[in-house]
Amino acid sequence: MNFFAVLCRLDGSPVPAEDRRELASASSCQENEVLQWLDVGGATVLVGCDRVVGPQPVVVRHGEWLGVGMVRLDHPADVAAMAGVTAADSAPLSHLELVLRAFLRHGAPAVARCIGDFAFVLLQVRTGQSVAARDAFGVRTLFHRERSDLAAFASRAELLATPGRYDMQFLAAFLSGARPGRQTTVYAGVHPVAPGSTVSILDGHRSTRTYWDPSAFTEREVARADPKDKVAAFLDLFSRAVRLRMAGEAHCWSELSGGLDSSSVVSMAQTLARRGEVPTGLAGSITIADTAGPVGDERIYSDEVVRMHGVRNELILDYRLLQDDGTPIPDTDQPARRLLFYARDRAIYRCVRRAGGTVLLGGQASDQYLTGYLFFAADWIARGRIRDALRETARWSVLGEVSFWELAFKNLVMPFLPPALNARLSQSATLPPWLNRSLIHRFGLDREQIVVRAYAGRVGHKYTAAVLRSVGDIPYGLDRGIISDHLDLRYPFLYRPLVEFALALPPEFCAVPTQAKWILRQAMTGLLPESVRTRRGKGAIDGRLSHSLAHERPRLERLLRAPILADLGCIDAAKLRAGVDEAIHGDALLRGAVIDALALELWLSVRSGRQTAAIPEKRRGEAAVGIPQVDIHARRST
Amino acid sequence: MCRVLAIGTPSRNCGASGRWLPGTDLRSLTSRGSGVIAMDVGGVAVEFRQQSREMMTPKVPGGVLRQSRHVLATAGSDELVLLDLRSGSYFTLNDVGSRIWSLLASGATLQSVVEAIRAEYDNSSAAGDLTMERDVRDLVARFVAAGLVITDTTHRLACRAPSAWACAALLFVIRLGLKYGGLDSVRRRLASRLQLVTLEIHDRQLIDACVRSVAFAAAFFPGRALCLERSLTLWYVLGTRGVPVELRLGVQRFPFAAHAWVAYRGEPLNDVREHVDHFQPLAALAS
Repeated sequence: MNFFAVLCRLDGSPVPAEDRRELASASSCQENEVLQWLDVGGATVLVGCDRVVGPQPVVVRHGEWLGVGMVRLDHPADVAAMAGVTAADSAPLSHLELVLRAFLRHGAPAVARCIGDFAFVLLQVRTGQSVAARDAFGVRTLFHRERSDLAAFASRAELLATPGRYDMQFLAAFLSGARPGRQTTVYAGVHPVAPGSTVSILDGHRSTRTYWDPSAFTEREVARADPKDKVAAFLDLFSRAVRLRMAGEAHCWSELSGGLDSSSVVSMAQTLARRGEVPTGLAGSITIADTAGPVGDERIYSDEVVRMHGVRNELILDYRLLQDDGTPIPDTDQPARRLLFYARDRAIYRCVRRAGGTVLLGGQASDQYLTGYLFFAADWIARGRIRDALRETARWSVLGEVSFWELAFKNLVMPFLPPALNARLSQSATLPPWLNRSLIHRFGLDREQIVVRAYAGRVGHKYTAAVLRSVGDIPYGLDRGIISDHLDLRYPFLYRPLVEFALALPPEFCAVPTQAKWILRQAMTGLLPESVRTRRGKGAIDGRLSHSLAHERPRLERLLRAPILADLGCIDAAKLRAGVDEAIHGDALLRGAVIDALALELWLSVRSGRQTAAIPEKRRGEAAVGIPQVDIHARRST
Repeated sequence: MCRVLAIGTPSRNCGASGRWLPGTDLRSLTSRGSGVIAMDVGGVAVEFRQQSREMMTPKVPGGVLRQSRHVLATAGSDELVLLDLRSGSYFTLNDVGSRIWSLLASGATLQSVVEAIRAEYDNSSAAGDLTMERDVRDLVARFVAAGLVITDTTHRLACRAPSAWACAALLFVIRLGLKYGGLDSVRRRLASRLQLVTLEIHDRQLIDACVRSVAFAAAFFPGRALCLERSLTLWYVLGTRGVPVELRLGVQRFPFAAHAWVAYRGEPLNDVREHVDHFQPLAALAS
């Protein structure tokens, strides 16, 4: 995998040897074959770059300033202009160099005007002054560790971690289904640089500043524009987003699930190619289908897109959770549910790489800001528009064929109830029974439950609060696993101007009964097959999860025989095993919590060495060399 | 014991040729005190037991008239015998009566029946013609009164969508029936009523209106109206209005779920295709 790390003594003296050793001992360094160490003044920079594909770490220097990071700008010409660099001169410069020069001219405001995917650290090698910045949606990862004498930043949290020390609050939140705090990672003492923010160190003082706040774009007084104009503006921004992410890439692939989002990306990419707005269209698309459950196979829709736009399509079919593909489990930087499907993810990136693909477009993130919620009816009630709220709720219930009373209670009554009462009334508020109660009390997980979170926000502004919370969840839904290690993942729906435009939209452009993401559907008229544009459902792998839990029983039993989570005091192992049984027999509410627990336990097992981590695939297809280990998962499952 | 009400005998007013003869006056053939009303139509004396005031003064509603589906007919040598399955009553008709009955098989207005009879049977005078028309009208009215023929008025009523209140009441009854009798019991009871419907309607506006009414009632139904309750309601509502629909049941294995919906010409009415395709068909019940 590719990564970078920066250590800098705040007094400008060289980084102590033990800090270098600690960094070098990280498993990422052990597995990486191409490591570069660079000592500049009081800074030590480490770059790992054994992948020719994917985000490439870059080190640049301009005077006494050093820049290290992974940067892809959407508008490099604008940043070059900020940096005072002409177009001709900017061509050979990396995007990080442009950012550095712009920063040197304009300071921190220059960072705020950078649009793209980036994580970088700029530091003054003599004084130790440093600025670390992360893009608005956290597409690129960046972490830091707090020490009074040392500034430590890295693109992988594991590089800054102390082996075996985990953040209990993170573990508890992960197990409870709540979002881990914005300032926590799985490793104790290692913190993420929050998306849309900078961490600055000056004269030994550390400060965090948010340069992009989504709330600045919501609840604007929008003049009642013609919906057609709004749709046209959205279409223009979306086409720009896709174009910028395909720019200069001859080997661009895209996910194509058959859902509205990925189908829109593929359709727009091919439409741009047909119009000559991009040099070439997509080199291919990749579809994940699952026939175990009824909603896991959306090929009826993805095939329509393929037929309409003539794009190559590869199929990844029927991968089980914890499926043994004959290779060890990957060692990812952070735990994620997706780790359980490592065999499928491996198949995905291998398929794309074999075909020469380097960039993979994804349709993620539009759910977080385009879906809309009925909470605007609660806001109407707060403003005295009771009849309008009831009428709209009735319309939703009739069109959506759901109970008016349930809908009204959830959207018109519960937003006004105290959080404690909300948690008591909502079924989904139940915490997993295997979670130790002491953790619940210690970290106040009762207050962190999803339903409580769902109803937070000021009265009269519930809709905006819900949208902003969803936008805050975007980083958690992005892939941080083996696909991102091997491919350059890009998300057209995370084009910042597009998100800002959508945040400013009134609810009726997004929240329409049976037509969620209304504005996207309208914008894609004529570009998407009608069956996809008007579909109401979404794909899901609930069926595969149930099937997998039943099918992979032996592996689950081995994994949960003596779980590390029990050793850490997080869970009751017997109750977790019982929970797995119930999930196998169809308890949908427990299934999600079981998946979270299994993913975390699996990750801990790999990290601790109980499960053999993947031997890194060498460049240029050379055979991997590793230390032979006894690995019970090396046997193919029967 | 079946009640033979109709006796076919040649009328003194009608010759063997079946021609209408002047002077036949229906009013002279009214109540004979025993409650039996006799009619002389085309040479056939048809007797109807006086069942109600409406039968004494038959009226022929306007609109299209059509045979009811619960009436069976069999042709003898020179007469047609009708059996009303609902009442168990038999009727016989001679050739002219049979001809009138056959004209009503696929639907006809009274006027078209009169014209057809007029064209097929020669009337030599205006008075005879008037009498013929009156007789045809009376026979048809009797058909309607006995429920042997459905009128356009009935059809129009059936073409109205029920109110949401009516749907809600039906939903409630169906819920109770499911809870205390089970699905088979409810299904049989509803199906037995649907069997009596003789219409076949393909009015899309009516269908959409019925779907809306049931959806509205289900949305406001206390608690949550389950898919089976909603679908049974819609199946019955549309079936009683002559719309040929199917109640479909399906199952999904992983994760397990069961679902019910109503289909018209194979397309779901109260659901979307992309949802119902997730379920393996288990049963389909026609209306």
